[in-house]
Amino acid sequence: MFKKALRAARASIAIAVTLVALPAPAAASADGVRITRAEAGLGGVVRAGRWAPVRVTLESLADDVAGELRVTWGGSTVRRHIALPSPGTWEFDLYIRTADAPPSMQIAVSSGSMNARSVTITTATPQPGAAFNLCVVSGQALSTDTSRCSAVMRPAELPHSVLGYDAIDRVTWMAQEADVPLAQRGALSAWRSLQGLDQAGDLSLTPSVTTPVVRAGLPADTARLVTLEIGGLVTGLLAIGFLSTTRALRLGNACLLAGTAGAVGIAAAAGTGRIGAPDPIHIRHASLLQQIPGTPSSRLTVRGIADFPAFGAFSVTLPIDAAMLQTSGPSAREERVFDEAGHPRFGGRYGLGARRGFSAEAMLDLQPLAVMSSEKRVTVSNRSALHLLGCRFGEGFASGGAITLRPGESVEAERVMDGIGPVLTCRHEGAPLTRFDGGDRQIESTGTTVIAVYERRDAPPVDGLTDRHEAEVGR
Amino acid sequence: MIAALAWRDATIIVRTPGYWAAVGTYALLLGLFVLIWGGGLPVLAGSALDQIAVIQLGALVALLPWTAIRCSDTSTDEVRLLATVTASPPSLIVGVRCVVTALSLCALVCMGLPAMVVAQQMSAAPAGEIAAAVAPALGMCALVGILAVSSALMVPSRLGGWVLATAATAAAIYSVPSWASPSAWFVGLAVVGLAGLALLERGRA
Repeated sequence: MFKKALRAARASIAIAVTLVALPAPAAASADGVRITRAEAGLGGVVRAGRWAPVRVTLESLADDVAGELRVTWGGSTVRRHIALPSPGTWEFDLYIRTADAPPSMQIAVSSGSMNARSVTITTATPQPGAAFNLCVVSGQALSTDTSRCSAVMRPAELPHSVLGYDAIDRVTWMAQEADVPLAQRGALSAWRSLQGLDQAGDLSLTPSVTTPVVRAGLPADTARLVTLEIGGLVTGLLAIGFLSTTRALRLGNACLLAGTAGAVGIAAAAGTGRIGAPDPIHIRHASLLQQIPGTPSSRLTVRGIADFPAFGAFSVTLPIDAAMLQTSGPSAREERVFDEAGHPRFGGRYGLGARRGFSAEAMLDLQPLAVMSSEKRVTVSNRSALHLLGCRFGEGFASGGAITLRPGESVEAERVMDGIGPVLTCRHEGAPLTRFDGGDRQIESTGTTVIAVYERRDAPPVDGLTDRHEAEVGR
Repeated sequence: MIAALAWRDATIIVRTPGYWAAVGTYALLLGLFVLIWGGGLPVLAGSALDQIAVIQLGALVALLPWTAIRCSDTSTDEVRLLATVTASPPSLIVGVRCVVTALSLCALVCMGLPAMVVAQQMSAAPAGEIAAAVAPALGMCALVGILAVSSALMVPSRLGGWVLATAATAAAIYSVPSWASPSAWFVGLAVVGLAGLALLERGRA
């Protein structure tokens, strides 16, 4: 009796905390725009070191409002540029992660010349060591027993990206109808598939990506230019010196020529990387594309280094929704910047030949390889236009060495024992399988992408789902 | 007369192979530093521009006195002979030589500017910082011009004059007080030195 009462009391507190934490405590406004609603985490619950979804609703009071939405949580900041063309209500989904999970998150909006106005959202964390159980309830089912829930959400409130499910361990379905919108359905399905791979140990046996090693010093193209400039200057000066010492040049002419050589050298040095056609930004990368079985999507992880060809302002954008782009640096603070379209970018004012390391994560609707398996045999086909090199079957398969898979080709292997890890990994040389946008500068990418394809594993069950609902939500 | 003396001294310097060897060596040294250690020397702090400014001063401590001594044949006898031929006071001849030597050394320092500009671009620093990085070197040129001519007048051998001028230059760098800017300190020392040298020559005459 006592346990039942305690459970009921916990359930009431969980729902109360969740529902109270959902709306922003007060509206905050800046020049022509105000925050009308803000929600953080899954039903207000977050976890340290895991992505937390943040949904902010803005009300624009004027035409063509431009500004910035900023979310700060512990040592992390997310800045989203906003451009609201007309008065109305606009909703933004952001994702933020921080190593510690402080109990509050600041959300601010700034516009025009007005200073940022902010609201603070209180967040909760699950008990240490306890699993994060997300309960999805419909509007009619709020009275259901939610004592086992860490957080409670309605189907329409679920995150649109698989990143949003990073914090949870399991989902309990309490909705009367599987009323999950399409975007959330795909994200939940990808999360379940990844959970299955993770629990089976497949992900841990996948080759990891590390930032490419780059020779110290100036990038090769820049070094060639500087060598040419310095070499030309020294040669010119020595030639003037030779003519002066042999008395072929009078003092005035020698001074004039030496001055001209110095001025040309300075002008050439100042114009390095700027004169003529703009040199491209070079990106060297090591990437991993993990095909998520049972979905049309893949998870792309990129570690790269960008070389900037001149002294000036540059930006690099990854034009994919809900992607992440993070530069590496000595600062303990993390800051992620998103443009008006919600695409992550990094940039700033960089020196000639400066290098910037970065990492990127994105979900792509791309699966270059198709896996067909029967009792003992597995066939993998290259259905892309990519020339795939060094393809190797994983643990548990009897196969020869590395082979090349041209577009349309297939490779078959026999399973001799149970194994974990990817079924097949292949290599693709060249640009990563998504493009980066450098604005008015071209981007040239070189590097290796490892493509890993997995067999489908049993996804963790979604409690409370009927077969029909489960099929809709994940399988 | 001053212009003629200056023209003569400048012509002698420009026609000396050692001057052009020094100019080429200096431009090449800074260029190689940018190319090889553009990312920064681990033992030095600061940006590429900060580091090249330090390297520049280190190189100039040896190079400027050598160039100044190597490019002029200043001696007490030569100054007296020239004073007699031109009917000018020896202090004027020495003063003009100091100024011309200093200007020639400034021209040498300016030939390192392209490498400095590359370093400034690599450091993403404002262009104005180049002036701040080069100013101490230009101040040093003024000082070395005086020190080299003085050393040549005091020590008969070129090697001895170069060693003396180099030691004096190093001492001047070491003596920069924390409250003074290096360029102002060097120029101040040069003005004092020039005045002292002129008085000395007037006394000798």
